[in-house]
Amino acid sequence: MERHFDEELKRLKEKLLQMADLSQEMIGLAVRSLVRRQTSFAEETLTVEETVNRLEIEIEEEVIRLIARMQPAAKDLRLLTATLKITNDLERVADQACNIAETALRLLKEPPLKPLVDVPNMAALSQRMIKNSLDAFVNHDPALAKKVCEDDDQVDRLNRQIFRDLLAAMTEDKRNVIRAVDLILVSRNLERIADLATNIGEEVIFIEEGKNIKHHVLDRAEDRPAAP
Amino acid sequence: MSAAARLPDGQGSPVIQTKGLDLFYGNFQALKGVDLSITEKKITAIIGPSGCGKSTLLRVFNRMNDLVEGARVTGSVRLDGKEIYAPGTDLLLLRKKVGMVFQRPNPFPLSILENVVFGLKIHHMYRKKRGILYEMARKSLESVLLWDDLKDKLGRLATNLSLEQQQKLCIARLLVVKPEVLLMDEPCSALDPMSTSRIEELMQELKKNYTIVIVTHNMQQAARVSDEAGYMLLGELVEFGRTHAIFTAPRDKRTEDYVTGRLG
Repeated sequence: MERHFDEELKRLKEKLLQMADLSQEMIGLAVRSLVRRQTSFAEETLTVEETVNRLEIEIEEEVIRLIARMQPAAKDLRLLTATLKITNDLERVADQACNIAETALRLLKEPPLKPLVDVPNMAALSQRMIKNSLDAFVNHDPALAKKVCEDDDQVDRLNRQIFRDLLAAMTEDKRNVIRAVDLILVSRNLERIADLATNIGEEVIFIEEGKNIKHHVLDRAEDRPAAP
Repeated sequence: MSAAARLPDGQGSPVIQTKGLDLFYGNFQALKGVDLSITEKKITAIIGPSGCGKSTLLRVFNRMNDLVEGARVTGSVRLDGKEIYAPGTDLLLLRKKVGMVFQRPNPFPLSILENVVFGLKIHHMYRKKRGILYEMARKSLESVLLWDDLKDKLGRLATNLSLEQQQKLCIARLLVVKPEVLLMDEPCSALDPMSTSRIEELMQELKKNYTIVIVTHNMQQAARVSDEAGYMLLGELVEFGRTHAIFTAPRDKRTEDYVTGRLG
């Protein structure tokens, strides 16, 4: 039976997807600003964030309204509570993108340290993880959500790789230090974005399967035998 | 019962247990192979659409269905380990142990005091000494949070009380004979939201000493008050488990459809 409530949930999901699209776009813009050495992309990132922030508030208000009015249960309840968390994760993705944009604006005042290869790769991976996590959400696909969680390892590896390379650059010449630290920060921002995508993947598994897989909690605490 | 319907992991001992319980009204099968376990000093809610058999199930527990012509029960129903449908079961004793309150409060057209102590007469627990009788009535009325309001009006006609007070009085009338289990069939459906919420509060108090089984149409009420819940559909106990599991992550698609309002 199609319910009026389903219409409202659909509108809420659309809003969340809009927010996800914008957050992904912000990651792209911020990194493009670094790679192409154009400040305009970084500035655009900061402008888009305002819309993301507005959407976050709208989604939160909508979820609270629906919980109060519809008294949701089962999957509806899981969907709404998870939406609240996903929207928060996306807002933080946007924050990280802004951090990258701000770092870019600083770095673009200096000559380039070295050609950027791993950073754009890492950005593409993190962006894809965000996209996949939202695709898993829309298509009710817990398998894809699980893949997002697994992809996080690749990003972590790249992050360590970038750190090692930049550390080497700093030891080589201390004039590299400030720019290298800034690039380490960018790499860390991207690693955080991948973590947030992982959170979203975990939320999707919770919605679809009613299971909390965070922190490797496979069973509910109360279903486990009490500690001796 | 489907594979998804399992008994909740035992916390506390079972008071009532059914196994392969079938109930027929003539040729109509109202209960189909119900297996469930009601845990001591917990509130168990039975939910489901009209006609699903939830009231019938409740009425099995104190054999109220015996009063319906053509009703026939097969399978096992145990109270404290004893088959209640075994020949020679003392129905009076059974209904003393397993009391029931109904949708419409049904006080007798007698005084408040006479209502409360009525069961003592039936069960030959009536003491001649007025002082003891009064004391027992006081305890029961205190348990249902009526004493302070009614202690100076015990001679008044019970049918003139508010519906909420009448329902509490009906519960007090059960408590005076020291039951183990309280069956509540839609106990709040005649009450306004404030009275409903006070009866729900009372249920939480009562569960410290009694096992409660409530049948309700009001899903939110089941979610609020119960520890364990069962969903019934067409005479079948589809799913039974912890209330939070039923309302957050039910195992059976039919339960999901009902608690999310997809089932008309």
